[in-house]
Amino acid sequence: MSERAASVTRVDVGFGTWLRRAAWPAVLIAGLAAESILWRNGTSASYVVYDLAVGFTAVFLSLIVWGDEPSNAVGPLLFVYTTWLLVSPVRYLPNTFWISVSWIAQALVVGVFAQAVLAYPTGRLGNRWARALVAFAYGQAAVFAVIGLAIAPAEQLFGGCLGAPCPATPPFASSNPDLFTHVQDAQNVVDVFLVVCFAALLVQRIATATSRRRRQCIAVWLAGLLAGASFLLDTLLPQGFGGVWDANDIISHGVRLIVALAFFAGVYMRRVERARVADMLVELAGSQAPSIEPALSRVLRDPSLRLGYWHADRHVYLDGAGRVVSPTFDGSTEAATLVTGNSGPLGLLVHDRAVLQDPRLVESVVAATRLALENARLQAQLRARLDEVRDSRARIVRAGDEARRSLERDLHDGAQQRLLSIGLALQLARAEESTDMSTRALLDEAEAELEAAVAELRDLARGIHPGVLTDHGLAGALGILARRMAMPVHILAPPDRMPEAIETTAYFVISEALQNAVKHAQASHVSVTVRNADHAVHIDVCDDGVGGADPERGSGIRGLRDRVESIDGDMSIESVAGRGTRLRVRLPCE
Amino acid sequence: MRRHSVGAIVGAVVPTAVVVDDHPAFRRMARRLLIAAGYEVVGEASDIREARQQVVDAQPALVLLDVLLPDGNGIDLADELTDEGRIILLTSSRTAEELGPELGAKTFVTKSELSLQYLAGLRNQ
Repeated sequence: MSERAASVTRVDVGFGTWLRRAAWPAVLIAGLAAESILWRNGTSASYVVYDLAVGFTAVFLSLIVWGDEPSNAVGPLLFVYTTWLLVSPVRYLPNTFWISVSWIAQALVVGVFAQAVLAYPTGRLGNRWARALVAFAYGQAAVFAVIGLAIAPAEQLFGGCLGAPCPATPPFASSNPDLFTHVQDAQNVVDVFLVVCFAALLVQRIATATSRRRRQCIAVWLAGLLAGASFLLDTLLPQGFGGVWDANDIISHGVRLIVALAFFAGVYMRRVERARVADMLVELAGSQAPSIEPALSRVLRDPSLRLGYWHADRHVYLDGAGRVVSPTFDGSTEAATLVTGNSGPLGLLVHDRAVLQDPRLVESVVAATRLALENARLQAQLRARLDEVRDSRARIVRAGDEARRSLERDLHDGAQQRLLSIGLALQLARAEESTDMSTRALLDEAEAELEAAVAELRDLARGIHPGVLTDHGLAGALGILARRMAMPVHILAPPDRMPEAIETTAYFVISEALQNAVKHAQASHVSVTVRNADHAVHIDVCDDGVGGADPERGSGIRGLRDRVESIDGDMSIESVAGRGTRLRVRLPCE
Repeated sequence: MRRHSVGAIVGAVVPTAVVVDDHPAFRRMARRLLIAAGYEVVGEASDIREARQQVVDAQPALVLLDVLLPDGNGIDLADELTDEGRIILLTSSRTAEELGPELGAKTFVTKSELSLQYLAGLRNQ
């Protein structure tokens, strides 16, 4: 398992950056100098321009590849390969040193190219077959180069010197044309063997790669095969198309360009992929945790990708369906990347190992996943807290309603019954024959007071919680409420019973609205409509009063809004001066 | 206030009554009021179950029956206890309006309106 979340860093030493920056002018100067050799030796201007254009383009693309991932060996290898091909005309200099250097470099660049292709995209050759092939390529190139320097005839060693006088003697030894011919034959056999092995390795990689890796590498691998074929052509028909502008030359230039473009395509794809991760982050903003996995899978084009969410209580990573997520560790194509936040583990990504081949992509993915998971976690926390607050408010309102009902029952069963009993006792006392007139008058007065006290107590109990609401529901309670109002109130309400919280809230909302219509709006008529629709109770209280009420002012309205919202309802007030007031309330009723 | 004919309890025989109410103080005073109004109180009950038993045992001419009882509704019990020659007088501290349409045409008086005169009138009608 790679813990990239905690330790993803770009290995970009200062020297590498300096080298890449210095490479631009150096390559420019060296390229122009090299092409001037061709120019001076009588090569046509068009060929020189063509060679320069292809050479500079390839070097330019290789520097982009190098700069995209400075710590990866592929970039420098590609740079060396393309740069050598640009400056290779130095081999035509009639100078022993440059001839020797270019002879060796020309041989070794085959190994450089093979290493660049086989090490793509990680910079590591991967298996022992690839390592052996590259080592053999370098080794045989070095051996044949030294032998060539020792025995090659001058005109063959120097490529004919493009018509210029060749140095009189080879650099290290005397010419041995017969032996050199045999050596060249042997080298051709070795070259064919090398190209076949190289092609076999690439075909094997194409056949066994995961879909993601194949997509990532196919351009470079195919370019490698093409270059191998071109190399074979050059080896088997070395002199068949000799001279400037021959077919071999055109093909080798084309292949060089294709190889550089193939490596560049990889850079482009990686950048597009990183950009898609950024797009995914925007897309995921505000979404919930379960949508992260499909988004990552889509962006990385890895259908096998799984995301586990850290469960601190169980110390495991679980997916959206509650299954444990862990890598199989069967040494196959899977890898796992840990995503951690400030507060510890957040998630575990199990994905195609090929994703790891682009550390910056992994870095982007981990960062995006971390943000998305943190966001989802914070959203979940916020939702939980909001739910908690809403539940708490609903509990407070329910407790208040229950306290009101209890108080109303206590008044009804306690004080009211005792007062009524006293009333009966007063009647009995008055009925006693021994009671004189003055006492009877006193008893009459006491009875009248008692009656008033009972009436006041009844009104008080009714205001606290109307018993009729409990017994007969909203329609019955509203009917009584309307008859007690000082103005005409038209009520339209279904007789069906509703949940207790809905009935109580609806009753107090309408009661408050009617009180306001009387006290503040100076209304002469109020209509109240209650209807059940779309799993909700809809209340509409409309008066013909003065209007102009401010819904944000007045503790009564605020209290009503709190009460309505405590059961997830909503309330709106329209009150235009001179055009009455309209209160609309929706109370969800599942 | 609704009033019924009391022809069945007119005569020399003292009419019997049962008081059904869950408040002991009110029950006690109602008993005394009924006696003062010329009834013989033959039983008291504080809930539906007791009331049913008392009425079956005593076969009273009048049942003073509270509407809101701890184990049920007096209005429903009134239908059950209705018998020829028996008056079921429903009473409550709530008004007929508050009790709603279930009350129908049953004889009903609020507790605050329950008086010696009313009971005597009921007996003498």
